[in-house]
Amino acid sequence: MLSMLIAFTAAGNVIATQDYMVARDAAGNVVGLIDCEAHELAGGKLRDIWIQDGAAGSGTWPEWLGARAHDFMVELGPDKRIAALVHAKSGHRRERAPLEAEFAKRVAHAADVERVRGSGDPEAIADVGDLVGGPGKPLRLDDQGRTATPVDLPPPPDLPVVGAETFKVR
Amino acid sequence: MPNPNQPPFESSRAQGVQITDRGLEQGDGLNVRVQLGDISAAKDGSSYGLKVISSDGSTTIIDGTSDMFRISSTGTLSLTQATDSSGSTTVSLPGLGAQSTTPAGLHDVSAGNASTANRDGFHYFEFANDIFVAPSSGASPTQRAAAINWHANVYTDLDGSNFARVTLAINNMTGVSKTAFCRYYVLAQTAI
Repeated sequence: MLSMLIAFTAAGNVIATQDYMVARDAAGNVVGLIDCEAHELAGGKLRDIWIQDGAAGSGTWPEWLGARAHDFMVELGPDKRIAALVHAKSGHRRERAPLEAEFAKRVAHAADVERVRGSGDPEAIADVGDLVGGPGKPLRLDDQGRTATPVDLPPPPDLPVVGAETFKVR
Repeated sequence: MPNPNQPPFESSRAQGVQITDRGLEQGDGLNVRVQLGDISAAKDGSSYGLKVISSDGSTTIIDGTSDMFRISSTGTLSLTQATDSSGSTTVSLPGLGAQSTTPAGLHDVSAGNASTANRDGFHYFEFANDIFVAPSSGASPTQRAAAINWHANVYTDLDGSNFARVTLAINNMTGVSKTAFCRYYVLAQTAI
């Protein structure tokens, strides 16, 4: 699954993140995005992808937190993967296990839907954007490291438009 | 009216999506407006991509000759710098492979990491207050002057293995430590 990369110091402080990186073939053509998690789970070194100055290690994380990730410290699990992010000031914990349990629940639900609707990859169809954000659209976090309530922005002003729908040949 | 000379869309002007020997085409009832597949004029497979045409049927908005930047990688860096010192942190991106030239970059730098923090382009400056210089040699320092108190900047270069590298640097001449955050986008220029 697509995931964010986090680099951390020996003390556990987050010092860098990476939302994604494109993969290219030998001819330089873009062939997709690098599956950092698959590389990590296969025992590959993330230094094949990025090398962060001053980092003691790096790992994947299922949420996209943007620069707010730098407010956290990493906690590694027995498998040496990042198991939790702990907010340096508030102590608020963002845990991997409950997130993955929720993923599994939603993927199972998507699989049920697809059994009725037709073929499809449940993992690709399951919508987890509200849980994890996404590349280029990180979750909004408050100063305590909690996911902030989505901002209820007013709609854009209703102005006349020249575009595909309205700009017709006269 | 339909543009009779609209190349290379000779097959489809109907409204809706059609599958043609070039690929997929979307018309507006008069002209083909979007094509996905073989967009070469000679229909010889020499150019594949997406072509978007304006409603006059003759103005190309996007095609294989458009000069565009794509984002190869994006992420964030932070650096805390002690008082009266300078330093930097770098991230190298071997996953992109070795580069023959330094890729373009679009980066912003900020003194904060909240969602609503300002994002300055490439450089962040803060100026010292109450700096005075002499208006002439030997005179009293009565002329107010600008002096940079601390400065952060972010730039792209290549490391010793020709991997793209992004550096966040701080020069901190204040009496307290300073932290800067940056969002980097390493870009790849495509087409033409």
